[in-house]
Amino acid sequence: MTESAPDKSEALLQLSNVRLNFHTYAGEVKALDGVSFMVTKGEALGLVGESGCGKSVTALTIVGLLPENASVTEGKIILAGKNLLEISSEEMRKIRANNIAMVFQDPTTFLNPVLTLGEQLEEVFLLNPDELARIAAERKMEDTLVEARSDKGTQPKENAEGAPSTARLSKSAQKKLARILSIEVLKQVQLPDPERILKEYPHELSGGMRQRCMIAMALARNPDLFIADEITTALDVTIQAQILELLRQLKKELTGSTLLITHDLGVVAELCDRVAVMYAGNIVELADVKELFANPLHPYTQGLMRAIPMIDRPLERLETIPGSVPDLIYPPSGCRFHPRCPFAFEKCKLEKPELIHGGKAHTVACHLYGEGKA
Amino acid sequence: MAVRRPSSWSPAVAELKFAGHLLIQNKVVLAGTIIAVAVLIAAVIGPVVINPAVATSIYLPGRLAPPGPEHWLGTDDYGRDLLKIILLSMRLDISATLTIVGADLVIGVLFGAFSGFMGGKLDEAMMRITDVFFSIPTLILAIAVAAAIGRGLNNLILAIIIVGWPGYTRILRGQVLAEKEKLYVDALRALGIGRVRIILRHIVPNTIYPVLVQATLDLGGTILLFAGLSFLGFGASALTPELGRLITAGQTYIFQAPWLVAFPGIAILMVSLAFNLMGDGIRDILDPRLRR
Repeated sequence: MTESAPDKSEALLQLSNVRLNFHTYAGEVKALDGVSFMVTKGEALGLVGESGCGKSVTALTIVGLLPENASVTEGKIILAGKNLLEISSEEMRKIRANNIAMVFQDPTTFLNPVLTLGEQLEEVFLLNPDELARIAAERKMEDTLVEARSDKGTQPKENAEGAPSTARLSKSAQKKLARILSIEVLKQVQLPDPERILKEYPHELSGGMRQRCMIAMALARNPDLFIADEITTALDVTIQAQILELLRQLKKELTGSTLLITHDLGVVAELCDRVAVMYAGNIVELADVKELFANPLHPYTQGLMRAIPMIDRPLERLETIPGSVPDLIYPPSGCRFHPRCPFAFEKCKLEKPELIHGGKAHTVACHLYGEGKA
Repeated sequence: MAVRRPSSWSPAVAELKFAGHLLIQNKVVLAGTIIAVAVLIAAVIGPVVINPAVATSIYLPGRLAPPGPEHWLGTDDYGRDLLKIILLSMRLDISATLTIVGADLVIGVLFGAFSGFMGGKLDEAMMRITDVFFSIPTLILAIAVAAAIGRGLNNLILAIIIVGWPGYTRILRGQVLAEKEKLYVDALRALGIGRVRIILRHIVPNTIYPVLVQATLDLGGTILLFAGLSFLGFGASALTPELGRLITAGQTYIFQAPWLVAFPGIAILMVSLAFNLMGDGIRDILDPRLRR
């Protein structure tokens, strides 16, 4: 925390030194080893790293949906002034309902197969009747909803004038409005013929359409923080491109922040403002996108960059990072990357590097740079 | 075979049509359904056509008349027309059975869903309770409960409800255990939807089919249990038109007037058989392997 630069923009989400263990029969898996980063208002932060490095676990920790065998041993997650690790599960549920929305990897399994999309999407709106009433008042929709309302009494007009905004809508008016809003949000994610899609079941849609619906459900709440966990991984390449294009457009329209989790550096380059690189439960490097691609400091990030196939490079064997992901039950001492690091020296085995400034808007956790500075 | 043709039918209607198609293909099921429907119609229409006062109109000079043109199934020891009495009885037995199975279904589904979803100590406690129920034969347990809470038709129904729910709870709990690990449940929680709502609106509709099938298969057994306990003297009072009760009354005259035992017995058989065949049919219709 001390080393993070005083930012001009306000922090929306701040993780500081989050440690998390999984209890397994084989032992304690030290999945997150002091993760600290922040997401500022309106920015898109990319979280990249290889499989099993703790990207998704970080996201699940933020939304409070960890499996039962996981426990956070240390750290704070501050969102809107509250430490998410300390509040009750009901408060957490409200945060999930109002502040954070998460979209998951595989759209095929993340929709309820027995309900139509309309039922599932409208449910999200119906959960918050006050918000619906506010929207109705804001848009002066009393007239459209009045027939649904009039069954309540004989003087709906007086009612509308007397206590317009705070009065809850009748159930049928809520349903009607939820449907209108559902259609709008489906249009926002560019699904054709939203009226028809609302009547369909998940199996009647393609993967890309389902993922769009998932995004629509997440956007329905207009969340402060939108977490996208590998949302393009399970899709065909062409559909991936479409979804990325959609995200790019939504980024312009939406005010909230985005946490984009991916292992695809290309996605990060296109969509994010800043990038955090994770390795074995640590953030090893955090920088602006352009800065990171131009000037990767951490040996792991450098390795990742070399492992991206480039269309303008002559065809050779693609470089890889030697070795494999460490066993997190018995993680390497010191810097967790040192067994695979070409530049490792004695200190790397002994001491865990802290995040330090490696340039403008650029922090890195590596002794190579600490040496130079000290 | 069951290719979804693009049609103007809405999905729900198309689904019903397809169910009807499967029903007609299977002759045994079709027969069961026809019998069940006929029995149900007779049981519903019977009491409308027949004055329920028949049940209490005692005419001793005409007692124990054999089946004939005037009384098709003869008369009982109170001189009541047996056909009319049986039709009245069938309605009572069928509605009692539906009440029992319906109540068990609701209780079993709720307990099973919450038990399976919440897990932990609640689940453990619930499963041990069901173990207790399973360790005692249903009939014996029902007799014990009926004896404990006293005689009377409503108490008998209550007794059978009390012994019936653990089966459904077990089935549903198993389904829920598998279902709650599915990822859409995580997605729903990530959307901030509450646990109760997830259980009732999302998990239960995804897990209830096996329980529904079990319930339709249980209808036959339940009517036998109900009539059986009535026969043993729990439940209905002497003049109440109830099938088990009719047999009890008739067994005194089993050699003089065997029809008094035979016809109510056949009626029980018909109802039970119809329910069983219908249950098989519903299972087949809901079985995804048959639907391909």
